[in-house]
Amino acid sequence: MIAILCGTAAVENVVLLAGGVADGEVSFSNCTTSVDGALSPPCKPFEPIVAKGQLLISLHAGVAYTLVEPRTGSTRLTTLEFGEECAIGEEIELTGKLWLEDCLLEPEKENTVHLVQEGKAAAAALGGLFFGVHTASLDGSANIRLKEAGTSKTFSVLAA
Amino acid sequence: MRNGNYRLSLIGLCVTGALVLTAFAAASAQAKPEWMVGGTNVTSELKVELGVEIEPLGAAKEVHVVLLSEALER
Repeated sequence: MIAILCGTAAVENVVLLAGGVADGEVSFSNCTTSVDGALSPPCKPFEPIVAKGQLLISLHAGVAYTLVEPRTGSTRLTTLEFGEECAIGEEIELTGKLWLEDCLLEPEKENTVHLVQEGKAAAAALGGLFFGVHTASLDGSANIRLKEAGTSKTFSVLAA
Repeated sequence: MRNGNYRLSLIGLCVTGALVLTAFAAASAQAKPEWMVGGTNVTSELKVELGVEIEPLGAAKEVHVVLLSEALER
């Protein structure tokens, strides 16, 4: 089992559009890689890992998700690069879909912060992430806050 | 008298039809997914900043997100 742990994430260039569509980038840093539970220094990924995608509010089984997919014209969210001595490969693409769900199941509630995580149920039913040719998942959660023109705002999603 | 009743029925039918159309239009409008920012629907391009704060994970309370996958063979 491969585990790539990242301690810092920053979202940039986020543009919200009508119809529950958006575009943005997230960069991960302070990352390490473990292979079968053991830290693998040669496989520490090059940083920052910049993933680019388009977002779409999506409803599945009565739950509102924010679906993150590669931008139109691209097949990957990002390519992770490792050192040449890394046994798992030097370049591995992260493709597929990331379903983000509100951990408190309140995506439609106007809040200044929403705690989100990967929606494993939607990923299992509709397809999730791929690391190379293998299925992948994202563990962990993050608090998301939104600012418009430097001012903190409440935000929510209205699913169809 | 019969004419008056007919006219009232026709007006009633028109009002009912208008209400049905309004309800249908409202339902159609609600069916579209939307972002809400500051209590307002996003109807045009809106640039925003998103702050991300990773939550402590597991018993060790380590602060990270983890991409997990099966081991790969070269």
